[in-house]
Amino acid sequence: MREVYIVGAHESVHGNRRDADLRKLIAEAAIPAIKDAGIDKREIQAIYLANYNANQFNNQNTLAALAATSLGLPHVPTVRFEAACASGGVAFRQAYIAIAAGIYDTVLVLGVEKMNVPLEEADADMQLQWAKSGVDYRYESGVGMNGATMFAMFAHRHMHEYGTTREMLAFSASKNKYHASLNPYAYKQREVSVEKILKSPIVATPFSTQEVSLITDGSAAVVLTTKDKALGLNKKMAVKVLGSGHGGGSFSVAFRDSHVTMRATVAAAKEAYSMANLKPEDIDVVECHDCFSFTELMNIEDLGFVEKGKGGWFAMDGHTRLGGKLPVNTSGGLCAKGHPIGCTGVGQIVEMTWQLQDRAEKRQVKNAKYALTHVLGGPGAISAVHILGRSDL
Amino acid sequence: MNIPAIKCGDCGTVHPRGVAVCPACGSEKIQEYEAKGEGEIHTYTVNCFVPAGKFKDRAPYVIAVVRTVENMFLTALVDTESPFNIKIGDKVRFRHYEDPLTPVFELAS
Repeated sequence: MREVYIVGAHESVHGNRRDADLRKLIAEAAIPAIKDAGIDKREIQAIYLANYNANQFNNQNTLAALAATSLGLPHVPTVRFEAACASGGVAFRQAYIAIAAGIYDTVLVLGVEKMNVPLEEADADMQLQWAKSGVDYRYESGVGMNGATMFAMFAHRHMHEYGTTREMLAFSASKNKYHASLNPYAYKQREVSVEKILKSPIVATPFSTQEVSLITDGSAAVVLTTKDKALGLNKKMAVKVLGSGHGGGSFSVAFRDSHVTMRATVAAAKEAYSMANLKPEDIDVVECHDCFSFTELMNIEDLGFVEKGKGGWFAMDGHTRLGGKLPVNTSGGLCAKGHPIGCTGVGQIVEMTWQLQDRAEKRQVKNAKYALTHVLGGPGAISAVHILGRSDL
Repeated sequence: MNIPAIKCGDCGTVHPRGVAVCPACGSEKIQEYEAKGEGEIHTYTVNCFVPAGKFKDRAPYVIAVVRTVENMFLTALVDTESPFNIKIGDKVRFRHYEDPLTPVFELAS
């Protein structure tokens, strides 16, 4: 297998982007990422695009080909990846594999989602139906299941088994709002206190409106290439892909071997750590899939940073905040930076690339050498984990 | 009320009817089975934010993962006048399928 490097990274401002359609979002991430790489765009040999549901949100299928044509690269081979909320991580992994295997030298990985659509095109009920179509229709849609209710049930079981509290969930959410307040690309750039989070209206117990991921428009792009090409372009700024993992778990909320651990995450992390020959304690900074306040606490356990059941206490001790021993979701995460579904996994790679290049500005983690990204799709059905490192290590 | 289910001839897993193979072990030796509609709440949430659709007038309402006495797990509604008093371990019994996709339980006590 060949070594693979990230040489360019960028993302759009996240939010309710009334000013931007799919083409504009694609351009806002892809063009600066290609410029950042310092390559001619004609050097791109394939475009791997992550998108969850443009076919319903935007009446648009085959979005990867649209992206290529809209970027002036109509003859580049393309493919779109859909793995619910894990789409971005899965697309990145497939591009990594293609370069490692010697099929391509340079691939553009794009993530894009435009979820906010004018109401004359879709009423609010349809918008929610589209957002939650990543659950098992036959067995679990009939009770009104959505992302919030499924993770709410995992949260309650975790609280029951380990004593995790609502305050711990709110504390972690407040920490991520603070991180987002430092991120000019985030949807909600303001701090929110633990008290306000706890007093906000409930969406699905135990989550308030401040503890759920945001319906977001956004895009992110990275350019991946070979070692020879990367080190020739800019040796200091190139970021190495050290490990890649892809795990599976049950697609059922009810029928699974655990409601407090995501097996998909555990398996993806094991594969990535093994490939990178690193341990959880080697990681300096993390972007993980905090689709709801609770999810981050479960993730940091499943990723091996803290013993199962202790995630809430680890967060309460301040370890996951900027300045702590393991800053988690320096971008602000899915509840504050936003969750444009297919974009999210690629956006995590952008944030961690910037951290390893010392370009994260107010969010910079000092001396960050190793970074980890983690996405989770469906009811813990799909996970992708990547470990990145500075090129000078 | 019993719940239409399957039972795996190899590993014994019981699962609501509709699967082609055993979802636990992949065995094709599955037989139709009537599961007892008695169980307890394994985990739950009270769904409060329902801006539109068939559950709008029902909210706040309980969605639960129910574990039956045969160790069958299924996602269902739990009909109660006091949704915020629901807790893990509460005993429930199956009432009916409100429609083909929506199993409904009620509190047993």
